[in-house]
Amino acid sequence: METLIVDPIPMRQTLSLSTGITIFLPTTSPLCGGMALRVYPEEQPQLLVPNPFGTGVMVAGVEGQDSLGFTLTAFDRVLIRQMASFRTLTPQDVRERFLDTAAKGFAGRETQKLARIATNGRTVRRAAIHRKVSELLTGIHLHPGLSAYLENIFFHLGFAPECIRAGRGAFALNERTPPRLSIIRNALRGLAPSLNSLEGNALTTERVIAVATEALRRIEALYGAHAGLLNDPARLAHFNVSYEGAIREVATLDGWVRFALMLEEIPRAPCAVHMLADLASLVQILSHSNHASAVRSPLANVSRPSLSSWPHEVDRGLYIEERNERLIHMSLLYDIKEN
Amino acid sequence: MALPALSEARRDQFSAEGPVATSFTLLFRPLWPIIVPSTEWMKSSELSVRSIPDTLLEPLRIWIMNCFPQARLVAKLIELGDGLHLPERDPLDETEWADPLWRASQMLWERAADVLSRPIPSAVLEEMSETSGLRTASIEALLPAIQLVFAGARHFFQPRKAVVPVIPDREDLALLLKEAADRGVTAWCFALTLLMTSRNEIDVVLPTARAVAHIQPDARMWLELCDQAVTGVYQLFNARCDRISREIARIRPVERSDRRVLLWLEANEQATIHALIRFAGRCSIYGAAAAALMESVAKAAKAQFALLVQEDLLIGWPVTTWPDSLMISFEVGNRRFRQLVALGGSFSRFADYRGGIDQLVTHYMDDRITGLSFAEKIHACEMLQASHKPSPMLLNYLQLLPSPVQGKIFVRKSVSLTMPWSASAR
Repeated sequence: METLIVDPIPMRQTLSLSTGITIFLPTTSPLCGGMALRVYPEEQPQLLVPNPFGTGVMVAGVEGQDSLGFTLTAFDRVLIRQMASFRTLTPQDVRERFLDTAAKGFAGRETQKLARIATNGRTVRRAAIHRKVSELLTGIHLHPGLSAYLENIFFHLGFAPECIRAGRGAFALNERTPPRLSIIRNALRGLAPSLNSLEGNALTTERVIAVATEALRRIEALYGAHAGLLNDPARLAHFNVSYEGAIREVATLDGWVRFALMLEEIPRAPCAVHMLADLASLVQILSHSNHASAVRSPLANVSRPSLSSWPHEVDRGLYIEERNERLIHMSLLYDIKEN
Repeated sequence: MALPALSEARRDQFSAEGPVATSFTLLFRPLWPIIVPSTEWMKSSELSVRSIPDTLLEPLRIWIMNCFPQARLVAKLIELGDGLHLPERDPLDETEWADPLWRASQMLWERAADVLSRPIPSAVLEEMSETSGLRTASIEALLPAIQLVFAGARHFFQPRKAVVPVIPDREDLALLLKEAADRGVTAWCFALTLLMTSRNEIDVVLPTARAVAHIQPDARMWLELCDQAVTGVYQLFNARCDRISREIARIRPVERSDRRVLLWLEANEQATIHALIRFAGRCSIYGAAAAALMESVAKAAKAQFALLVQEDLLIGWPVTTWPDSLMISFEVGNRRFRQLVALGGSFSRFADYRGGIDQLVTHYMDDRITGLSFAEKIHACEMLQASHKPSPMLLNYLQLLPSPVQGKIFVRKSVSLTMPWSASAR
């Protein structure tokens, strides 16, 4: 269910049949769940936010940011504005712009410090991965763009450079587990117990568990598939499929990492009902698709609780901004660990 | 119930400094609801069973701190309590240092519970009685109850920034209250009063306490004590707020080197008061007490906020880039301001606080604060003030960024979803 916010400029100007790719935006604004961008080739991206007025997803242009039902933080304004200036946007651009905005200090000094450490390590790791991938592919005649793709995806998924060698697939997955994979695995293990401990609406809980488990498993499989490529690089010579599926998953990776981090916030949540709604909205945004054949999300009609059930003495905006900054710190720590 | 009324003498004993962290304040400050001046304690038989005379505290502290193996760490934590000179630390295990004062208090309470669980030698007791002017027998009678307070510290005391209501585990709470009832009326009164003045959800505490009271041999007496504790809590807070307003009125804002670490009325105490007033809205018998409390807390919160704002405007911040620890504690302080506004605004009106916040925002946006970069200024003001409009400074910055791309109209291309990183694969 999509609610379109009417913009002066019609939002989709091409009549392409493409459905767009949902890229998660690591934001700090006080909204339920999280925000995502839907990007189309050669078009302005759209903002996807949980509809604060009811159920479903709200679609807005990146320029009409003031009509979203909540106040955007300066960090998000700068981030979104930067996204809007990209002609084509990739998940990697989002992560880079995010690090850049954080390093400028729009989300506080602690974030800034962590983002700087993360950015510094990235260049080194990038170069190391580039070297390793070319070593891996020497002597294999493959599709021209494949080496760049592999390099990017190994970098984005957080594989350690020393794992990128023929026959090291299992090592990459089990001994030098990428930090993001380990938190996804943790989340898969702790998902049901921690969500059940919230004691919210049992039906919603079940649906969140079902959708999230499936998505988290897909991400795990994505890691598995790419580690599998390492085991037998000779296979790559015959590798000629579209990467679209993988990119769709990669684009929501950071969102699922945030979901996993939010699970750890559950014991500290001021209100169980709102926490469940937060998690459900995030899952809904991440799994939302406007593809004609997409199955309607089971979370489409999960309604959001009103503010009356929120504890009176806690300032909701303040709490969520602070929590989101904390989540950003945690995800930056994962970036640092990868380097 | 006779209340621990406050004499003029006691009101005047507070220093003009305001609350300052020492091992004494960290140990005993959270016990304020059960501490009364010794003169009154000795006069009233009722007070003597449900409160601690204040002259006993210093001898107790000396005994607790005697040969305390971690005394040095506690002193270090207290010294670093303002967070301005925290040691370089790994961000992953910063939890230890996240709130040094809180950690120091926890260690002190643990130590106190440990020391008081062992019998005190008679020589020490005599010395205590000499310095405090109390009889050894009455000190000995108080000790088990005081030990219970420190042993159950995690139920009674909560960190000062935690405004989220604490929903205690009913079984744990029942165990604690049973233990208190076994130790006698004094321990029971201490436990109940402290549970209600801390951020515990009263809807859990009260029924649990009554359930425990019911199974006691003399149920009626224990139940009555429960009711008295609820009535008493409004009057206790009322007296405290009155005292705070009076104390703050005597303080002139002077230039300080940094922000206050401890406040008179912390955010979580204000939140507790707010919850109690809401509770009275459902139980009309406490209505009058709650109305009086509302009035005095509004006054105290307003006075405290005004003083904090005035002091903040006088602080001489560094003119060069701020060090990390200062910046981080500045951000935490800004969040505290916002919390105080939200809570204070709910006692009176938001309008009472708007002026102060506007003053702060203009102050930090000003060019004369040279240590903050523009992004830090924007972030600071955003934390102070929940504004729906982006600040002019941010708008200026946004205009400097590359302009948004307008989509080309009707580009009919072969539909390709491959991303640029695989662009050459096509």
